Amino acid sequence: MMPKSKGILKRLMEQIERTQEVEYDCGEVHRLLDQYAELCLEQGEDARNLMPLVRQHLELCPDCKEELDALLRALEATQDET
Amino acid sequence: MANVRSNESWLQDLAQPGPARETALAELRRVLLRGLPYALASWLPSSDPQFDSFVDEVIQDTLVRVLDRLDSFEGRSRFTTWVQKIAVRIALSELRRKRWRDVSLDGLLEVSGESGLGLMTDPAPGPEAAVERSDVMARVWRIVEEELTDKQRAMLVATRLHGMPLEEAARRMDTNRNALYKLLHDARRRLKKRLGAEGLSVADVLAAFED
Ligand SMILES: [Zn+2]
Repeated sequence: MMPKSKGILKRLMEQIERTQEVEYDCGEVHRLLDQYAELCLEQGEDARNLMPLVRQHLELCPDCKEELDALLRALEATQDET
Repeated sequence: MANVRSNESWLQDLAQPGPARETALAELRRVLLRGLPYALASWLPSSDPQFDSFVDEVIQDTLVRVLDRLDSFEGRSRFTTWVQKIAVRIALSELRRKRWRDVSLDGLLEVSGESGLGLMTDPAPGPEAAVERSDVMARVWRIVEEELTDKQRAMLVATRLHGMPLEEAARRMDTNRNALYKLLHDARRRLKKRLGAEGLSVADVLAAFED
């Protein structure tokens, strides 16, 4: 078996490159996601650097990233009444 | 531009059954009803005939969970942000479950070949680059095969190749999302270490793909 794919292998290698010895799991990220989302709205890109372990997990976990994106959309839509 | 409540006010009103709690729940419901269509925009359009009943259910489940877990609110954000986070988790979990309901893990792994990696085949590139690429790839895939357990390879294929959500893959393996993330993290760490030991840097491998 010798897969020849560029795309998949490349993606895997990119994930390996981002791999850290210590990473948050999805539960730890979920616990902080509300705080992180508010930081994103208030400070934009800078927020990412304030919580680097959350940011790092989000780069590697599409599921948590989807949840952040959905939350951000909801927050933007309700900003004026909360 | 309604009532901007403090976190303390939310907690206080929700703590005990009674009119204050009912009012607070009604306000939360209104916030959720306003935000969810945006949160779910790429998942379930509000024009979908099932949208209203789905959102109703999500809100119901969210409010139950919020009352159940008031103690776990740490005040890291505004209370309504925390509530919306819970709603998003509930909604996406259910939508993912529905979307992947008819997909079995065995079926997925079967179409990907016996080791689960057969699908990773692209049309071959130009002749010379192809030789170098296939050499590098052969080394990488040998490492993948030698370093990872069957379970790690299967989960890597299901989640990263087929895009199966972690929760869905975890359910099918009788585990949970956190444990599965840890298993995949361990797999990545092993691969990183082994690539290093073989003197194969990630940059080298990626360079083999540059045109
Ligand atoms: Zn995650």
